[in-house]
Amino acid sequence: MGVVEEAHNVKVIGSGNKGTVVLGHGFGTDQSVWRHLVPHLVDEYRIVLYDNMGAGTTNPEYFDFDRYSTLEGFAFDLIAILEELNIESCIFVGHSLSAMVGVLASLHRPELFSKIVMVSASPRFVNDDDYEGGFDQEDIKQLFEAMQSNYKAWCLGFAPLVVGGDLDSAAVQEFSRTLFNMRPDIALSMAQTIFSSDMRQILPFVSVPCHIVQSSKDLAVPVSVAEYLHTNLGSESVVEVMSTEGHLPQLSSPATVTPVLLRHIRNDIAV
Amino acid sequence: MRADLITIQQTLTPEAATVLNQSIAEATRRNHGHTTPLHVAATLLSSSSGFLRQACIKSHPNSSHPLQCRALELCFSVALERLPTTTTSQTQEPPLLSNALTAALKRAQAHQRRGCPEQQQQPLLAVKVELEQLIISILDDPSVSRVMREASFSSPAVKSAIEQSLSGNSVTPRQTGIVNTSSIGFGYRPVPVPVNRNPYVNPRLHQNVSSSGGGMVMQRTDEAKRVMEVMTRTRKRNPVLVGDSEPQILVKEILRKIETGELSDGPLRGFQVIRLENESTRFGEISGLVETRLGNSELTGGVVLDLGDLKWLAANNGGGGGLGAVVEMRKLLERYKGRLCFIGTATCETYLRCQVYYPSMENDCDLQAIPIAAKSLLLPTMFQRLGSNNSNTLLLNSNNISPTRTSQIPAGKMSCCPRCLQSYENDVAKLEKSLTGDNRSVLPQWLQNAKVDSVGDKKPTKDQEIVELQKKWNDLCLRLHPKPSPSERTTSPSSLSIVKPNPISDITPPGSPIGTDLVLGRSSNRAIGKLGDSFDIDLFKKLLKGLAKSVWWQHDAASSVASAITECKHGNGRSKGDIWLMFTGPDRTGKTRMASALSDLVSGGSQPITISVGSRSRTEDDGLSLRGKTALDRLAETVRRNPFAVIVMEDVDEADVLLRNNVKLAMERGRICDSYGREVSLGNVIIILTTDSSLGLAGNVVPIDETRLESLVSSRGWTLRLSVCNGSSTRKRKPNWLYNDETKQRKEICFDLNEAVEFDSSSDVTVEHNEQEDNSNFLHKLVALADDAIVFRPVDFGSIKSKTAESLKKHFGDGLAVEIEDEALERIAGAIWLSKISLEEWLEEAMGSSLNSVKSRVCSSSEDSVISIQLEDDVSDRNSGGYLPNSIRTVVV
Repeated sequence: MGVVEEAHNVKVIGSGNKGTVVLGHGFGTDQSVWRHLVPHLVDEYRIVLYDNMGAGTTNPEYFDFDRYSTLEGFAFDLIAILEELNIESCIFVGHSLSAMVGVLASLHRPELFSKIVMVSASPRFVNDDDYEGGFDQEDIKQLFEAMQSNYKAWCLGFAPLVVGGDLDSAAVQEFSRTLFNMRPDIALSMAQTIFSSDMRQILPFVSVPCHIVQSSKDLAVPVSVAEYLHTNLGSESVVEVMSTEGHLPQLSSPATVTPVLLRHIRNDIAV
Repeated sequence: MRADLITIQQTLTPEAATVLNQSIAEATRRNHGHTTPLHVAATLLSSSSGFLRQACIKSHPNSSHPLQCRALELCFSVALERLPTTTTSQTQEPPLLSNALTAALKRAQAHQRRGCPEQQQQPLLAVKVELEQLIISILDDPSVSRVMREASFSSPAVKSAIEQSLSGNSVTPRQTGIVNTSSIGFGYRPVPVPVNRNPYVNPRLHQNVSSSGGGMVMQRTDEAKRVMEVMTRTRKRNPVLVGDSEPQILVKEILRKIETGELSDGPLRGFQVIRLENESTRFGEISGLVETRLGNSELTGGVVLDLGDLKWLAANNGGGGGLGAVVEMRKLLERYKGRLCFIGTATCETYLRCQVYYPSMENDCDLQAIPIAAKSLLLPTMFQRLGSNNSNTLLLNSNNISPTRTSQIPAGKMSCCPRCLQSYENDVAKLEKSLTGDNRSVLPQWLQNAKVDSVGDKKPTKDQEIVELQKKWNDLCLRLHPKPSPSERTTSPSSLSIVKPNPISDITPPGSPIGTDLVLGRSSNRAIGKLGDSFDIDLFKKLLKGLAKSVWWQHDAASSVASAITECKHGNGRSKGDIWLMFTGPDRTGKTRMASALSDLVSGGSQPITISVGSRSRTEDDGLSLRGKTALDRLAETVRRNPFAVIVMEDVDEADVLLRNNVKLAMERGRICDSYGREVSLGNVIIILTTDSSLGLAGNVVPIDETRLESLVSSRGWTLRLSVCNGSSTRKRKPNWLYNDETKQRKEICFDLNEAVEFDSSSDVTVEHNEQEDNSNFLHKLVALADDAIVFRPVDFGSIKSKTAESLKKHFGDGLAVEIEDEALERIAGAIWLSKISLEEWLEEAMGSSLNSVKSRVCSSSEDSVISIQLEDDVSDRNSGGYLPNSIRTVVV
């Protein structure tokens, strides 16, 4: 197994011949966030699962704070994985952070991506004049302070907020677990990277078709963001807003989300 | 001069021009009079594009070591430091380009033009020198190649590496891809990646691999060994350990070994250690000390001189006493060949400086540099982290236990004799063989979990089968080869060696035992089978008596519980103190009462702590502090508070996946992990898992619908009327008899729920087939892991009623005719059955006074008077929350 594969815990599974699906997880989770989706894909596709550097399941020694101070670091990791596996073209399903990472990677290597399915994606989390990102600068400052002062307490408070379920739900517990698995300084650095990133300028350069899937109620990504993506992406795009709640719908309401994702993976945008 | 510079810059591409400008800035900063090729080379090396650096690494034979490139950088910086500085006040003016640099730039231009196709020959100024060409011509410069030679790089080799990559790279789409995007102005520059065909890879991944020498990092002991090897050879026997933090520790260790005489054999025997106390000025004294020591005829061995950190040699730009010290060292070495040995440490920078300042030192003093990887210190922690991660994922993710885990189970759980153990192992091997075709093992653990969950695999999983095999052979062994003493049966890993072949076991285990009754149906034969040997008969009797008394309608279950507890308490083949029991079957009351009685008996009169997992929670007496927590956390919290408690997890089959997995893991490991990841040892708790499912063992019997019964008992207030009437009164009897008939009919409506239940289950099958299957899968797994599974047979309410009537009548004393209205009896029996107190207690409490008065009345009245107990509706609200009325009205007719 190659260095990259090992470092990112890459798993290639599935026997399908309809192509390769690469699943990228978001902040605070790891590849297990796709647990409900994967069984439905294995018969049709080859599936590549990996952990983003910095996730609790990766070696913190590898987390280069410089490299991952912008989303490019993650994007290059993604390309490195695809290169190492000799993948020539794939359908990329990215959640949150990874959706934007996929978009960035597609700018560098458009030929690698046949389409990108974005789940709960946002090009910019911070509000701006005539842009609603969902967070104010002040919110984010507080969030960072909370993370720094007591990471565990922050995790426990953050998880139910983001997942949008009650404290006892399995999804919240699962997310808290993966979130808390991260090393606090790495989590903070990643959060800073995410909240400082602004992908709005690059959207017009995207050339890969994008499927935008998101919850109707998501604390981190207002529905207007999906609309913004749709209007500003340079490529074909389609939006589907699901009746679910929370930022991790694939974990909290798999019954609703799995069919939607399958539909978007299987079908292309009609031209 | 300025104009010159501008013209030259126009012949360069922006990239190359930037490099040149940076070099000029560097020369200015260093106050150098000229900008030389050395400046350019240094700039190129430190620039983040790292083109030259990559080429150097590629060209170098031992390129894998990161030290090399660092060395090159340092050599250049040392070389730059040696350049003459201007003291004049022309600091405002940028330094001139040196002749050498101008020549290099011209060469570059010429090369660039040559590179163009002939027909496209363009005027001189239109040809822009690209960065690559600039690098090549800089490498041609003699001063640059000299510095590179110092750092053991060959500039022709580097040059050819660049030329190669030029011809190769210009075609790859990757390169153009990057160029394109950066030209969008997105502000990214490719991260320099040493020796790597995949330029996107995180450089840290490679650093780790290379510094660890391709796989594992060398252990410090290995490094020490290497140093010792160097010290014992004849040439180049004076090691200098080059590294960032490690060397000092290592040197200390080695010197300690030499001093304590740990190396009693080999050439270093009898060597003494002299330490140089970090002052170069005192080297003279030290050398005197060395001479006297070595001159001493008593010294059989030699002297190891610890030079310490070589930074004292590199200080003062090689001035000061450094040179003298080096000369002295050489003299000493020559004089005491073979008897004197130097050892020192240096950072990479220090060592290179020494090499530059004292070029002949390495040869004169016979020094051997040994690079020490700095990683070895970090590694333990790194692995710890990895390890803990693994266990985390194991802990929370796996529905199926990982292979390593399963291989641990046998050791912990097998309690049979060696012969059976062997048969068991054969069986496991067979099982594993049969499962190898399964591609499941390739899947990540959490995914195996997902697969089982959603696809609904029918096959029992491997670990389940293994556990069943364990049970099978353990039981078989127990039956076939009774052991003389319990101590031989304990099989903790450490005591494995104690297990002797059993002298009594001359019956060979049968080839294909009937395994069906081994997992579940042991309840009846277990008590008999186990009574003979290591069995604490007193404890068993006490438990059985107590349990059977309070749960009299489940005598078999009581006996099973008693025997299971007795066996576990006896440490039957187990090292852990926690006991897991499964209570299965529809008799909720029976299970609750059993747990309560068990708790009473085992932990000295305390009530069991009930954690209700399911939706049918009937208990509301959780402590306030536990409210709002997950079942898992409540369990962990309870265990933490009271490691001897009896804990009931009600309706465990309704647990969510997370809780299920945690429970399973806790059963295997004897530790429970709460949702914060804190682990608690289960101590000596008895955990009772209850489920209403009877696991298909007693499917046909109609269970009592407890909810129906409960609503009957508690729907509206009711009370009892105790009346004494004359036996001859027929007026009373007839309606009573009629009434009886009526209630019989009603009873059928209330309790014969045969149809309803069947209907329910069939609808379950069609609608939630998968989930059910999943559930039963999970339950079977639990049963296999638990210490024992006790089946509570469904209860026939008729027998309970008659039993209640019997004991009621008994309570009123002999010789009295007691007539109990059927509806009243039903209520009493139901209420008693549901509530926690026993009939006797309730009678004592509620009926005591009225009973006495009734008794006295009966005594005074005629012989054939009859006491009748009747039901009375009570319009007032139920008081005190109990099912039973607090008092009984006594009426005398």
